[in-house]
Amino acid sequence: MNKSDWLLIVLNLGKSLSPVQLQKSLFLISKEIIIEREEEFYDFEPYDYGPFDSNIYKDAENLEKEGLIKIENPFERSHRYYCITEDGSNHLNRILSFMDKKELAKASDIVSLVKSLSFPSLIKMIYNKYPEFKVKSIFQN
Amino acid sequence: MTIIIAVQCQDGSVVVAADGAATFGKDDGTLTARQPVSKLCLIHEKAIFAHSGAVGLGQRLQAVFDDVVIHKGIEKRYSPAESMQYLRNLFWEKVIKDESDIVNQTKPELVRFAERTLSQQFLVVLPPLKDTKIPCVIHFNWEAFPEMLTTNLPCVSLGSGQMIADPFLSFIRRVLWENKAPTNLADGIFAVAWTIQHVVKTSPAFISDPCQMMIMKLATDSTNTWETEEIPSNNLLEHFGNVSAIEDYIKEYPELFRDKPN
Repeated sequence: MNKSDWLLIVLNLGKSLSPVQLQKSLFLISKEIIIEREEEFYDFEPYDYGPFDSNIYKDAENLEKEGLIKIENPFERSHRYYCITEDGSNHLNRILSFMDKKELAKASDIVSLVKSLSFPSLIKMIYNKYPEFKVKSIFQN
Repeated sequence: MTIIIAVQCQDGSVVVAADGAATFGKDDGTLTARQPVSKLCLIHEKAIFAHSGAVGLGQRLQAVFDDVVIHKGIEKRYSPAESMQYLRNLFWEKVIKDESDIVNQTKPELVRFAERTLSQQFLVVLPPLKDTKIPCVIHFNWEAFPEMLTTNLPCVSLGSGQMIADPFLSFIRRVLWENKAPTNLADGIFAVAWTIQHVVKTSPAFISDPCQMMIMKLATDSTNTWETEEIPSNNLLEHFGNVSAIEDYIKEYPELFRDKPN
């Protein structure tokens, strides 16, 4: 499984995610699942709102070009949304058949948690749990 | 059609942002096309230039400012007030005066076309100038008349989107900043991101994404220097998420008055 597959899994679990929900879901997966697998993953660095890797957005744009996800920018919202397409779900089904069910359940819990929190609560939760990612926070003072 | 916004925070840090659409058109004002474009320019990694109006005029004004930053050592020679006068003289003498003279010599029936060329505003952000410790933001009107941002005048908007941006910045200033300047860079970025989104979403036409944003902030090391950088567009996505969060909060406010089921 590669990084982009995890991005698809997160979108499949979350259905529709904002940029910060996508970033923080993949960050928590890196800390709670990937770290034990020792495989190549996104390289998160402290940024304005905590852990961040711009490659996530680049990969998402590539997946959109392949027709596996959609990036929507609704007029009434100030941010974009990432959603999996039917082609993306079909592509993912093949990957999920090989996936450890415990890991999938853990990933599902992470995405549910991320989606249940407001923007400030999500950022606060990440800072409380991983204070080393607060060093460049715009909420420093 | 353009919106450019600059905000200076109480800690001296500066945020500048612009929309990303250039409108092409004929001399008679007919609009022909829209193209993505950068409206903010980083000058030798230590200053910022932003222009709203005829692109050719902006290019010439930027060349003058570029020369000032790299060759004239403006920050060591002049105080903010002296810099305002110095830059005003340069912009007027080297670029605007000739154009203004041409407009004055134009046949009356063509003046309205010629005047359109001069309809412009621009701003510069400089590192701390002589005898000061914080960056200096100076904006100029069509005749290069300068005005500097201060703690009492912490924000400015330029371009056709000004009609939408100014009242919104006033609202933010009144509600969030107690009519003062924003406390720090976080508050400044938030206000600028929110205002740009508001203008892009509500402008009648030709002001659009992608947003471009630059900041000048104190270095986090011990050098006490000011750093200027452009925030990559993908890195702005979370800032816009923060904007959505406050909009959600406002939307949910009426719920606080509704009776909850026991």
